[in-house]
Amino acid sequence: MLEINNLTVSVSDKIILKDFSLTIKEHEIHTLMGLNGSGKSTICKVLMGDPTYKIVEGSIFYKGIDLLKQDTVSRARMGLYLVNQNPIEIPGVKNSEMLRVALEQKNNKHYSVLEFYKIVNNILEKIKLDKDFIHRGINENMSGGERKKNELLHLWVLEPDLIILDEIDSGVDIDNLNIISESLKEYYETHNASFLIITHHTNILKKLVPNYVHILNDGKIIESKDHTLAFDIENNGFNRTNKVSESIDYE
Amino acid sequence: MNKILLDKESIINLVIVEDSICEINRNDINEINIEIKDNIKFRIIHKCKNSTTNNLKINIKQNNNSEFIYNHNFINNNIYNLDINIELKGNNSKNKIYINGISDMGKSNITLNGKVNDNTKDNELLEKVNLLNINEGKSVVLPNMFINTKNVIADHAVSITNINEDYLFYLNSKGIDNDNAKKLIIDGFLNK
Repeated sequence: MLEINNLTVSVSDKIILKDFSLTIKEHEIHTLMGLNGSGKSTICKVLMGDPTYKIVEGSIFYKGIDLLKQDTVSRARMGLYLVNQNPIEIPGVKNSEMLRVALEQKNNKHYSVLEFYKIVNNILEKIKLDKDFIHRGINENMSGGERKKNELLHLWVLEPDLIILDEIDSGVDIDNLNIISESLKEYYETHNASFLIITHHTNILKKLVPNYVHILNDGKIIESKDHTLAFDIENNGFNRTNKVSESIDYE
Repeated sequence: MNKILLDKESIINLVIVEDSICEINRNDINEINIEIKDNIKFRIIHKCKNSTTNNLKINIKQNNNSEFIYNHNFINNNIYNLDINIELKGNNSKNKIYINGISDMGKSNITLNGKVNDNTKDNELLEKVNLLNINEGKSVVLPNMFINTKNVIADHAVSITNINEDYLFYLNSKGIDNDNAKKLIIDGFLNK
């Protein structure tokens, strides 16, 4: 589904990702962990076509199509979806207006007001959001948890295939995180979707159990393993090997 | 509330003696002179789209315990010169000016002159202007306040921006093309 090969990316002449490779197959969940500044958010933005980042070398193919030749709009319509760490607010632009345009453009079809609200109301109920939410400005005056749930609303309406979650668990209380995780799990199970999850914690991974966990260091994947790696990292930190050997030396 | 309808005159003189609201959707008015009597509230909701040169002067005089609110949204494709002159003559009055405008290829020149007379007290004066320049549009705002008393609350804020690239990227990442994204941002800007 997604093949990233030997990708090197720079921003303002500084190399952020070096020879980065990753393959995500259909209906797989991958998690990317790493220290702050290791390049995790960069890969999210590069996948979505953020023009700030310059591709120095390498390739990205999505469903067999060269993604680097596609603009952000095309990538979104092909099924990529990014939930940013801090979703921005756009004052005055209502969720309903934005989603209706996005849905119409994606499916190349006109939705009557009734059709649109039928879709949206079902989703609002499912993710436990008040019906007024749809009439609010995009992320306007919303708390961290509300912003993430708002992005979840967009996700359910637009039905993407590859979901990139950049620290969706940051700034979210445990109750809201449970609601978000449950909803994402349901989406995963009902939509044959794939996930790339960037996180520092394992809470969300208890619901969305990754097939692979990768450790990113200095712009490159240095280790990959099953979901147990995430719990190992959370318990022992990224220098866990050193810690173990120190412990053994001590004994 | 009393509704005021404006006919075809290009110069309009209003003396407001009852709480009233006025909606303006024309762009062929050159001058509006308003005097608001004691204890009266008056509000203008003014929306216009200028495709030709438009010069408008609004002069407001307020007496005691009065309130004037001006909500103005505009899209300007040509030359738009808007002068607003406020005079707070009495005590305990409020004057609030809210302008949201788009300069689309055109040039918008907005001058606000808010004067609070001496020997007055407990007045409030607020001037808030947000302008968005698109397609090489330009905007100039002169927010002047002439305050002749120490007993007043006076505040002004002006922003002139281009379309935020982060907004565009966010909407693009939802699959919305640039034309529709810009339309959403512009409509949102006018409605905020």
